[in-house]
Amino acid sequence: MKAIKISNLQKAYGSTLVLKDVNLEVNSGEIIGYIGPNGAGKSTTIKILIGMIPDYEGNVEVMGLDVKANPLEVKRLIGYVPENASLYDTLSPMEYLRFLGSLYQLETDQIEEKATELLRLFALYDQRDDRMTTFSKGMKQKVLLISGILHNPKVIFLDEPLSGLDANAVILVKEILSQLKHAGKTIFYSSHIMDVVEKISDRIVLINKGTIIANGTFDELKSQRETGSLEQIFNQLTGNNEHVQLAEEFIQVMNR
Amino acid sequence: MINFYLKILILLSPIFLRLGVNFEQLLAIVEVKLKMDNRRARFNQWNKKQSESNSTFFLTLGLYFLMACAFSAFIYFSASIIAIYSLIFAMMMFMLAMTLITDFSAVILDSNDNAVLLPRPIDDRTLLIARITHILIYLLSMMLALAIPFMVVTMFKYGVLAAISFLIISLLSLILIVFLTNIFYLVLMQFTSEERLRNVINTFQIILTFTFMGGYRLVGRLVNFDALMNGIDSKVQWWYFLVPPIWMGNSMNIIIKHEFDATKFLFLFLTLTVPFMVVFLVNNVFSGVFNQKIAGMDIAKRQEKIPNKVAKKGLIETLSGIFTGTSMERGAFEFVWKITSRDRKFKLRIYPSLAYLLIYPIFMIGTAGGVMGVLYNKSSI
Repeated sequence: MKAIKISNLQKAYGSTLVLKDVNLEVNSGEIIGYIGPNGAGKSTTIKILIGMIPDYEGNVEVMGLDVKANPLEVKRLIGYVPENASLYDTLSPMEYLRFLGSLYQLETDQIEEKATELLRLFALYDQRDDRMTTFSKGMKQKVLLISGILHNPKVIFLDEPLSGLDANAVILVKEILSQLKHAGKTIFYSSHIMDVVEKISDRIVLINKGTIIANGTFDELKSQRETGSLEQIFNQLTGNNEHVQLAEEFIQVMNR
Repeated sequence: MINFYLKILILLSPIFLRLGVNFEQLLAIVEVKLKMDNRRARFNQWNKKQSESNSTFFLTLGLYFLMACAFSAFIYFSASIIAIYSLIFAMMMFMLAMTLITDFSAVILDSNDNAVLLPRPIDDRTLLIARITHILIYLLSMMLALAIPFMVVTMFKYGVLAAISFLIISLLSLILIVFLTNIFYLVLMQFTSEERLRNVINTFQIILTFTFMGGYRLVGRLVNFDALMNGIDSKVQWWYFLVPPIWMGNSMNIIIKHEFDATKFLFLFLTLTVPFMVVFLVNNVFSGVFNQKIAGMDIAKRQEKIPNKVAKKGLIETLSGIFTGTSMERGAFEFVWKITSRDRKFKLRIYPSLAYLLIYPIFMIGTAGGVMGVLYNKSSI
């Protein structure tokens, strides 16, 4: 059973086709790096996979379950760490995590214990009862990360999980992702930060303008394109070659 | 205090279970939403601490209750039933409408909800009913805080039947206001994007603050207390049929004095039917649009280019050119001008004070009718 199986996925917003015939398979225990320019359809794909957007054409299965037919079961199995730290910020981290834990019908003491421990590991123990309105983006991101995995999901979706984190937290999260993979979790990781994606992903999937234009390990992609880093491959595949010229012009104008 | 509400919900749990919802999840959601209501900052000029308060909601309820208590004394002193009850219903409807408009965006249109709750295993029905329950708790609390003092006084002066009728008519007025506000929001959303919507809501918050500050003066001017106290019922004017509080005041009259005539019956009829007509309208005509709009607001935000363009392109620059010397002065001029005309928080704090400053002299000068006038006249007799 594949962890994720997408066949002929299509999604339109009004008259704009945001996703055109997306096909993708992910095995259990794989880390997939999902990259693409802004507006390519990354967030939409993830939202469809986690059942947030029930209106689409095609077939989407997570852990063998059809997302359209069994949205609740799918949501119990997956964890989602969204990009823009949107949470109930008048609450404290402990209140927020307690609330979410109860939605997954976890035991109260279990939630209490887990949440406190996880907050401590992220150096947020002292702020666990402070309102999150006073939190920096990085702190909120940490709480979001915890809220995404508190219920021990099998498949974890992360949308720009490292944004706003300081250097220590970034290293910690990278290590956590790698450990999660060893624990058999499947990780679907969407990001702009190429070197992280390059290093931790088993496979890289590149989406541009609603279709997948590359899908393979980093080595496979390299051999196809004969160039160096993921960044350069990305630029090539998305037809973006003007950055050198633009940078030069930028400096010229500044010097005037 | 929140636990009190939760206990009531637990008592009503058979109803919820019969509706097919996950009751534990519903309780958790309602509890969290009430907690957040308590922590939402109210726009208050005097009490700066309110953004750190833990019981904003309950304080507001307390405030409304006290206001109603103070006002309810007039029931005793007024011989004219129509006048006093029309006034009471007007006040209640106004307070409810203002509160709804200012809090509506947070209570009903909360787009944070989608990001937090949609990825969790909650079925649609539980979520919808949890939201409705929360809104009902919120609205009924507001209404009861205002209505109970009046009800009690009504009961002492006019009997139990009158008191119960008052409660029922209050509920009808609540329904009317809720759905009128709903229509108001739908119309707004039709014509504006989310950004402008916030600006409009902000304007209403300013009006609300201003009303609190100076409204009581206005009442003294508009209402002829002499006639009120002495029970001179003026002739029914055509515009009475457009003003819901007056329908309700007349309905109370029918119930208390048993004065049955055609006009009064018409008022009673309006009181009983218009709220439901409005519900029908919203349900059938507007609701589909409403849900689409809320769901689409998130997505539309990214698709459209919200016209946040600067309107006055040349004006500020021309003015700054005239009034300032160095480029630093110029920069400061333009900066202050733009901030004072655009910054929401600033406007919310300052504009009510400015408005009050302008209106106060008028109040002082022209007090022919109203409380001041009555006292003056009486004292000179």
